[in-house]
Amino acid sequence: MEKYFWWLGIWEIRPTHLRPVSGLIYWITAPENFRSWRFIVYTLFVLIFAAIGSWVAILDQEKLENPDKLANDLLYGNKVTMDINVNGENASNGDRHKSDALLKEEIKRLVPMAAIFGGIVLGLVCIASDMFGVIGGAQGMLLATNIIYSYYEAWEKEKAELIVDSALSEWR
Amino acid sequence: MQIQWSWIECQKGDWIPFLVFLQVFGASTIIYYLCIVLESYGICGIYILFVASHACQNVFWHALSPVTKDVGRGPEFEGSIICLVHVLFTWEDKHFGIHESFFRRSQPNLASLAITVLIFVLMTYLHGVRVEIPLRSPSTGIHGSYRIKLLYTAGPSISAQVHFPLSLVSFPLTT
Repeated sequence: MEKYFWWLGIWEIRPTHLRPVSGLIYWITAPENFRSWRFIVYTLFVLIFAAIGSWVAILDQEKLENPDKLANDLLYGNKVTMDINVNGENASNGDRHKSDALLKEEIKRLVPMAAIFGGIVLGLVCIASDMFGVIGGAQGMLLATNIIYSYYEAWEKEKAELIVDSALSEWR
Repeated sequence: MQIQWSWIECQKGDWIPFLVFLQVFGASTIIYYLCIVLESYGICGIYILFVASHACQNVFWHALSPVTKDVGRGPEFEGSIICLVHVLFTWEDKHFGIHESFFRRSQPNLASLAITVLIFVLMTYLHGVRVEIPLRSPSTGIHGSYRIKLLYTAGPSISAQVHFPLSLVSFPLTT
């Protein structure tokens, strides 16, 4: 085993934990101090990895290409065909294609920017929490926050759905 | 302990894989049935709920664990908040005691707990950062907004980070 996998990493046994001393794992885990080549390599690795992860996630272009589907998502499955206005501009039925194009453009401009920038911010938070020793590891903590926030969002969406339902019934 | 069956001979350590198998099997069965119960109430994303609760349990255990451990200067509590209270009432040098409960390296300390709470608050704030595109439907009069979050892709990015380096880190712990 050691003959073939030494490049993955060699660990040193400490009383409370295991500490990597060489190999690939030594360069991509959080170091103890800021002033080292290891810290620079680790920072670059995490930032690039986070940015690539975000980029891969938005490669699913279906939602970006299709504003109608997006509008349906917004109305939470109520089968209403919408005339979409962007930035509050008044669009009559004839201008529908124009407003669609505007929305598409806006989304195509904003979403990749948000994704890449968000990935880098996430990487920075990850590095900070790793360096200061967050309980349960940086990634575990971020994952937990993400999950808890997604539950909050689901709850909020459910509330909004009720409001939309009542508004629709009034309109009818 | 040595148990003799007709065709196989078991040493003491040979039971451990079997026990691990039983543990994993039992735990996953319990989680599977809990999932069915929660699904009947319409709660979405059940496995991730367990991941989140595990992380929260970790934080609570680090803060309030009543287990004592001796690292060379008498028994100390593992939980950082309990350790602070214990140190304040029993140690003679209060200043050093408070410093120890904040920055001790051998066991969970208060500084990491504070950083954890801080990171949690920061991440919650970052999840709220968004650009809103207003939308309106002239035919119905319903208006809403499409939100583009800053952490739009946080989920896949985090899970990629969790699964690649963390699996390498936990490799020596599992073997």
